[in-house]
Amino acid sequence: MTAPAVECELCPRRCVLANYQRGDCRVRVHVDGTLYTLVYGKPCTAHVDPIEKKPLFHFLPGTAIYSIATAGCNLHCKYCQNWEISQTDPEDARNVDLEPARVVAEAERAGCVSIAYTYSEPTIFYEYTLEASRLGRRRGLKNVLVTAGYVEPAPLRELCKVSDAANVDLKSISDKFYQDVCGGRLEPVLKALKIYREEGVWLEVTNLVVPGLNDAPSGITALVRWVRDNLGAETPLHFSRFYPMYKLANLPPTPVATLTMARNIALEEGLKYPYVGNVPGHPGNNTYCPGCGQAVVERQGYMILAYRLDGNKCAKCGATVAGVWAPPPGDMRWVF
Amino acid sequence: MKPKPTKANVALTIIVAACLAVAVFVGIQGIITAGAPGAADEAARKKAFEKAMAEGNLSLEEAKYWHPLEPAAERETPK
Repeated sequence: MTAPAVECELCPRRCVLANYQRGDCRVRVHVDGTLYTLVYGKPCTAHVDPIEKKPLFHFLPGTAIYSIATAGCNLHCKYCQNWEISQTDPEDARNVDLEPARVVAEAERAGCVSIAYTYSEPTIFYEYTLEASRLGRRRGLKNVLVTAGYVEPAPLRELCKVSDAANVDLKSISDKFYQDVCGGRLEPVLKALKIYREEGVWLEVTNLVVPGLNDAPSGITALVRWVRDNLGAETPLHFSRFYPMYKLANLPPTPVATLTMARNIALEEGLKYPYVGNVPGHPGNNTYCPGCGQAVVERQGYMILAYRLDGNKCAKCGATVAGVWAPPPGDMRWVF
Repeated sequence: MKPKPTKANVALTIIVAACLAVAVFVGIQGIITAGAPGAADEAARKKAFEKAMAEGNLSLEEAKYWHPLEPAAERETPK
């Protein structure tokens, strides 16, 4: 007799799975009445990155972060920049054996102060993320989620208990965009963003600006206002440049002028820390003091060129700059 | 007056009844052999799963956040 179906409660898809059927994420499978994950301890990528690459600009800047991902994703963005791993079955990926304890050990060995669950989508390798985060925290490492925020509230709140920072990709403020371009819905993402804020996880938001799809000034204004009104004006917001990829390889890269326009809208609407990403050398790479306007952290891409903060205060005027600015070990801030 | 059945009619009736009985028997046997509706799909999924487990470097760790459904409550996974 076949096992009755199971319902996955991890993400808003709430997949109902017959025996031996996999979820939309490709990595969770129902076998004889039990739901299993296929990727626990089996990442397909593990790198040491500058934390600015996540991007996180207000969280331990200049530090190295051990970054892992497994195959699979619960969204299917047509422009995915990591589609080779996110839109593939885990058995087709080159997985390595890396139990949670080894993730922590490798992070320490590499001199990292934090671990990022990133590249694809940490929601779908939830159990792995949760256990590595618990172990990492015990060793004094910080945990960072780089996520689309497409997750149910209960598992997210549990994960937040062991997470220190998150960069959430708010792809658009349009539900139609989420449905047409990403195969998801907007509302669960907005709910997740509020939960991160409520749970006290340091939060930065990224919006990848795709020409012709989500680059209208009206949409950017609506997105900025939602961030300001629901997450706070001190939430860093990264407008990131799109490069032709995956199913949208026919589109041009985002014009720099469009990203500048988006950042200007954010400044006009009162956001204190809007950024331009994926455009090295743009003035929007820098962090500016909200008090005096001085560039307190000057960046060239992922590299920090100048650092003018004393703790969390502007070295010039003493105004507070929001973030987690504990000094990095040694002089790593200059390495990248 | 009701006509008396001929030997040919009786023989034809017996043949038809026998054919029906065979058909019903074969049908029941077929259902028993194949299992419940959807069994072929499940067998295909099981085969694919076993292949993936054999060829890919995968784990099989019980997941969090799920629950079994009563058969009556089963529904299609939304696309």
